[in-house]
Amino acid sequence: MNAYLKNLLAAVFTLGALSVHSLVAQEAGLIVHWELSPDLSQNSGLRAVAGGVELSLVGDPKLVRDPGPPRVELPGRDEKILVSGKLEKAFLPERDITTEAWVRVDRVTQWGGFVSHLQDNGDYERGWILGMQNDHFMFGLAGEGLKKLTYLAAPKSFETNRWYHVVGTYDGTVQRVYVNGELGAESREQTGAILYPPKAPFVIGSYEDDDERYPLTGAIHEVRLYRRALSADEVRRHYTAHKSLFPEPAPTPILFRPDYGPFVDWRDRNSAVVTWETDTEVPTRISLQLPSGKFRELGDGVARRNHSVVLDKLERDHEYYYRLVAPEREGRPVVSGRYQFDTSFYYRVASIPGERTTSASATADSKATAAQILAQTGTRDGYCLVLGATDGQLALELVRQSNLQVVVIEDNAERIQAVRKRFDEAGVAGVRASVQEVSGPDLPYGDMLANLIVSETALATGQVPKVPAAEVHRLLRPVGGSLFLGSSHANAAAWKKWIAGSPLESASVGTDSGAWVSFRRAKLVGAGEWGHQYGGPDNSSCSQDELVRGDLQVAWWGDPGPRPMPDRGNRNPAPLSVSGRLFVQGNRILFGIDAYNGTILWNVSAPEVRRANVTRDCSNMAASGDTLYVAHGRHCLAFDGQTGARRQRFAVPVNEADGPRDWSYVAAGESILIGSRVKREATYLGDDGEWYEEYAPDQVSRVTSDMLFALDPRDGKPVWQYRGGAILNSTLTIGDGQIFFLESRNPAAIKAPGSRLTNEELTDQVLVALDLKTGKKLWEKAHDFSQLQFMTYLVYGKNTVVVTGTDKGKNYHTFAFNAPPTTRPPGGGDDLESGLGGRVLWADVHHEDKGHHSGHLQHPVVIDNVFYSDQRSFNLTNGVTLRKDLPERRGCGVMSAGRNAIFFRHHFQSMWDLETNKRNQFEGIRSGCWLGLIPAGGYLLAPETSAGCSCTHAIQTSVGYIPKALAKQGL
Amino acid sequence: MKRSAFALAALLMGSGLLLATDWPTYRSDYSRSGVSPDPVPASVVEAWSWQSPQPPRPAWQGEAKWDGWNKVFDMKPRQIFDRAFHVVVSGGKVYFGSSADDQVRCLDAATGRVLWTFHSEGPVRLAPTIREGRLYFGSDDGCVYCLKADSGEQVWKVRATPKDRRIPGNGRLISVWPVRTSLVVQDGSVFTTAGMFPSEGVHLIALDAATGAERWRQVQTDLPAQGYLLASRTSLYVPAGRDNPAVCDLSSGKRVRVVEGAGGTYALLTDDLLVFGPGKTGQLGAVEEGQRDQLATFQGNHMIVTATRSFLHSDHELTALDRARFLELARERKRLAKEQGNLVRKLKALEKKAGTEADREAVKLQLADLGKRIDEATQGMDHCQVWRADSIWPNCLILGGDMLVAGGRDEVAALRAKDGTVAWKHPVHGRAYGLATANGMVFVSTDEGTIHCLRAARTQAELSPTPPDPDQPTRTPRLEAVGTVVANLEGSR
Repeated sequence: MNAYLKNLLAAVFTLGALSVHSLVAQEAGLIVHWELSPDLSQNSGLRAVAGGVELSLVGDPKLVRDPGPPRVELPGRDEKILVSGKLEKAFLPERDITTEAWVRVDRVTQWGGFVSHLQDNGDYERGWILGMQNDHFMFGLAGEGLKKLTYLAAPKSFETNRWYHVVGTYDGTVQRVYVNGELGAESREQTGAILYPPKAPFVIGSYEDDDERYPLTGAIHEVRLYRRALSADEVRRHYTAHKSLFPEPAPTPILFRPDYGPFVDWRDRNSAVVTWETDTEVPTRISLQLPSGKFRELGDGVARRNHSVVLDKLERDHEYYYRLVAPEREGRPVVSGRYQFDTSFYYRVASIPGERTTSASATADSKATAAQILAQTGTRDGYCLVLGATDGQLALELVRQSNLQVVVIEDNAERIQAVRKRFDEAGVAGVRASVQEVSGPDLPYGDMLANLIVSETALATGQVPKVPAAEVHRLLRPVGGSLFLGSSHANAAAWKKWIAGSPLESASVGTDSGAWVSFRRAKLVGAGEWGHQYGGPDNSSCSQDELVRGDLQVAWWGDPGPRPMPDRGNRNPAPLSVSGRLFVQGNRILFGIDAYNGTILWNVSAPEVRRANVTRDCSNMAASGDTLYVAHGRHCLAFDGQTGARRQRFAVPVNEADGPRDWSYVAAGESILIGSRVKREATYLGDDGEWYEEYAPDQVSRVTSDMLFALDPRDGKPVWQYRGGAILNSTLTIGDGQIFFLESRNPAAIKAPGSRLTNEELTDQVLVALDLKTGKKLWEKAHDFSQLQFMTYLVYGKNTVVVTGTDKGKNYHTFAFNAPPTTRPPGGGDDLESGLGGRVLWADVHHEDKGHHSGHLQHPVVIDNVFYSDQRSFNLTNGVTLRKDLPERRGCGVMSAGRNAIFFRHHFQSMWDLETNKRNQFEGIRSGCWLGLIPAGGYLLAPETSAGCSCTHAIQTSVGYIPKALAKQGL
Repeated sequence: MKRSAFALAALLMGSGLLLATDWPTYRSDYSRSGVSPDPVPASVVEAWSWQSPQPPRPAWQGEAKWDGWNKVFDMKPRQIFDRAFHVVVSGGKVYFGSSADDQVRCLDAATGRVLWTFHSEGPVRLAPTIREGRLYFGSDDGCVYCLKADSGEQVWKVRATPKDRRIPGNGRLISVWPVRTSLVVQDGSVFTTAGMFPSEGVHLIALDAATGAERWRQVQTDLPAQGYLLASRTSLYVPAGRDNPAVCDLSSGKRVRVVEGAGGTYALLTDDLLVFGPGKTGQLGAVEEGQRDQLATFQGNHMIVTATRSFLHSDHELTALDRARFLELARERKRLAKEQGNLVRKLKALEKKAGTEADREAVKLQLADLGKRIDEATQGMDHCQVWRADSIWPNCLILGGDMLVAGGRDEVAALRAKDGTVAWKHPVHGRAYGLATANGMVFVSTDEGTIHCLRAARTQAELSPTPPDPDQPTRTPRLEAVGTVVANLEGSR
């Protein structure tokens, strides 16, 4: 019995109730023919045109009839089409096979499958696949002879968004792949019957086996499977007969890129405004995809430069998509990239009903007092504690006139009831205002959480609070937490007595009318800041914070959680914290957060703000004082740290000869803003889930800048510009008035300015030092850095600049150079006499100590004169090895530090106390696979960075930890 | 077969000790069965609805949008216990807590009139439980409360942890040790937990139901406790947020084991299984009593179990399974898989110790045979489906009498348990995450803070003149016509 009959009978036997008729192919050797058309849908699947095997739709792939051809649209997510598992074996061809499909690929991926049944797991290779390998169609098959897969690719690249007829055939000796009726490639490598795995998914629309999955982004019209190899003529006839069904692709759209924006700012819970600007006056609109899937065009179509469109009636918890659309040019549509706006990312305080005339109505006095307190303290966000209530009117007015969340602390049951009633009637209970029954001198609240402390009782009676002044001070948030207490009929002496000897002693006591005590808490002494990717611009990964040490306890937790964050492994820009605020970059969304209580001060959807693989690039954020600087397209934007207002923007220097450039590096100080520029396409985005851990050109290539420049952020005036070789962004480092970097002088690298370049292109590297104020070159040093293959880091400390990275074998190579200061201190040494740096001080080579994923990508830490790298430490200036026994950690997170502790990811968020040499883990909560734990302001700040982890870590949230010792001190 | 503690618990919870027509705790009983013997009406009208001044404020927004490494999209939120104000019903009254305004309310089940309210000092995220005229609940303020169910008068209040420290948590000033599990009241004791961060200590406690006096306390330092507790006669099942539930001894609180799975706060006890999920992709895992590892997994978010059927509820469909046959095959497959593991180890050992080719081939043959038998068992499990129905109501599922009720977006629907046909649909305000049925009424809780009470249609006018066609597919059609130039660009994304 020949194989065909045998298999046919097997199929009949297996199928049971299915009629033989349905199995008899209409065409010789045809096993099954599926058309992915809505006309063939039944139940949750699709019936076959011939062959009787039903398909199951997984996810929610869209079946589209009009405009033709009928097809399934696959968005490249978890959608796929499965052949029923219990039938597949009976249908698989034994030796001779033709697999045929009409497909449209919209996005090129490393691997892709149109129809497949395979396993390719290491050395274990079985089955077959019709699909693509990058931008080449491919037919892969494993035969009994070779026992490995041959992925036979057509040599010509395909175009995206265009329909193709793709066929793979094999007859036991020759394997062929055809594209649009023409033979693309053939191979005689495989022989014998097809070698099948015992179990594998029989899938349409995905390359999928036990350990890999590459979903197709595109569309499939039909799939056919034969038990014989079609001839070249037959393939051509099939193509010719059907090609008229498939329209030529629409004209390729011209990418529209706004000069500035877009940004989406919330107006209220149900509406937001999209703003963007164009270089010239253009009548742009928005094409918005609604939850129904339909599209709506928004905008008045008037030519202008500043555009804004209100999105109203927004549904909660929904992902909206939109594009900016400009007038057609040369018959081609002009549209922007596809942006997303997620209405679940609404973090403002709950809106409250308008005031009604009820018992909740406030008196004019309480309104005026609330307004005065808010004006005088400048506080509008966060937590307000009211020490003692009378009737809740002041508390209610504070709610109405600000974004504060008010907590009234009271011990009298009747007053508690009255105030609760008032809050209930005003519709603010709980989410905006609450009453807690608390008595006694010690309040049960965590330290440093209050943005504002007032007292209704004191206002009404003039009496000092029952709570001691030191206890009240303990609750105030540093860097601006305000206290405003008193009364027009208070006795100043009593208030002065109350604050005497306490940390509030320096409070201002106004006595013009009664007594008014006001106080604004300063920054904690010894608190550090994390204003740049690796702490400071020196890349030391040390915030210089002296307070975070010993045992820590949770000080706050909450949003953002994992939902707005990018995947944990993309090597995303680190969070920043300066001036008591925490800045977090989500997936194209920015957050400003109160570092001491987790209040989300602002957030903005900024779809052009995204960067990944910072290992081979630099961050797009820096913070200084009250400002957050963010690279955004051609600009660097200055956000108000407290409100998120976009206060200023600075344009990247451009000239016509170079063409357009994006702002890349950002470092900020009070009077200087440093930037660099790249071509837009140089930036890694991480949108395909890349983790950038392997040694491959698309993972380790470095983003390079073609210009470094400085400007004055106060007025935007340029200060200096530097152009030399191809500057490796990952090495830009600032310390003691100098800016250091590596640049490649290879002509090939210089000829590709501002690009992403391979190691092979980045030869002839030179370590360069410029004067930070003038941009003038101080010295340079050519050196062999060719072993720094996976990555290149540079850090500075103690007149020493250290270059480090790993080679392909995951060996760390470290080189330390002297870097004398630009101004000569008294008694300066030899280096100053020579006026040059760049002398090699020491070097080290060692194999990675931790093999867990990305153990070879560790960024070093410098604390004082100690250089921590991998699991070792060295004397920074002379290279003497100090330790080789740093606490074990998982590989994927990198270290960060204060002066007394190092933080990293082990299984969970972890801390190594340098004084006690003790390692703590915060069970149940993990950090990301990069840098997400930052000690700043006396707290360990741990915004959520583990997003996407399939693991069962119990908690995914942002957390602030406070040292227990700091809490006890009540500083 | 060992008559399990689960079964005994189900008997106790489902009948004698609790009024059959009440719904005195979340999902009816401490097995969280979601089953009531009371039949859900064959057609319904809205009796009343109650609207909260503020919608629920869930503690957790949801999972990441995707797992970039594994290319898993639309991951399931694993902590979904507080998306609506879940109600309990007892003695003609409806009770629920609020995560928005910190209160517990009592409404007249017949009219929806508010009878009393009680303020706690933090969000009340989980439904209270009623027992012998007392109402018990916990709050993010870190306290456990006992009230008189008829009046709301406080009987006792106990701080669940020795210390009282309040900090900003999930956007509110609450206890470091919030009560984030429900309460179980059984044999004169109240069981609950307090705490979320293992590094701060997570307390499992038993209190005297009459006085609130402490009976025992255990402190976990590895897992949080979040979600609805489940209980059998001997064990307490403690959901752990995104992680897997822990099983503790009810008499002492001591940890017995942590079961294996993909995590999640949804859980259900049956005669002999703990079912929980939804993991990262909407998958329920089933673990047999006394076991740690999983017996089977199901693609779904919720499950209802009766003596003969299991109803599996996923995002898009509802399926009825032949329960006994399915479990039989699942056990067989698990046994075979274990055998397969042993053989694989044996084969590896033979390869290491250079066993003879014949030895290795013999093992390989056995492995091939086992593989076939495992496939057969798997296919057999696939054949256990009694019926399936498309569903656009993925948020929750209960069974009242012979009628399943499922909650969706802006709509709830009743489906006949015998065949999955739709009996009725009713509009609601928002996504229906909470369902309860008692005394012939259906209560729906939505993420908009609305509670709807549906009762039987009594008059001809109230009866739907055109009942839905059960043969008509109810799933939203996948057809999507896209027209404009821009829309065409989206077809591929």
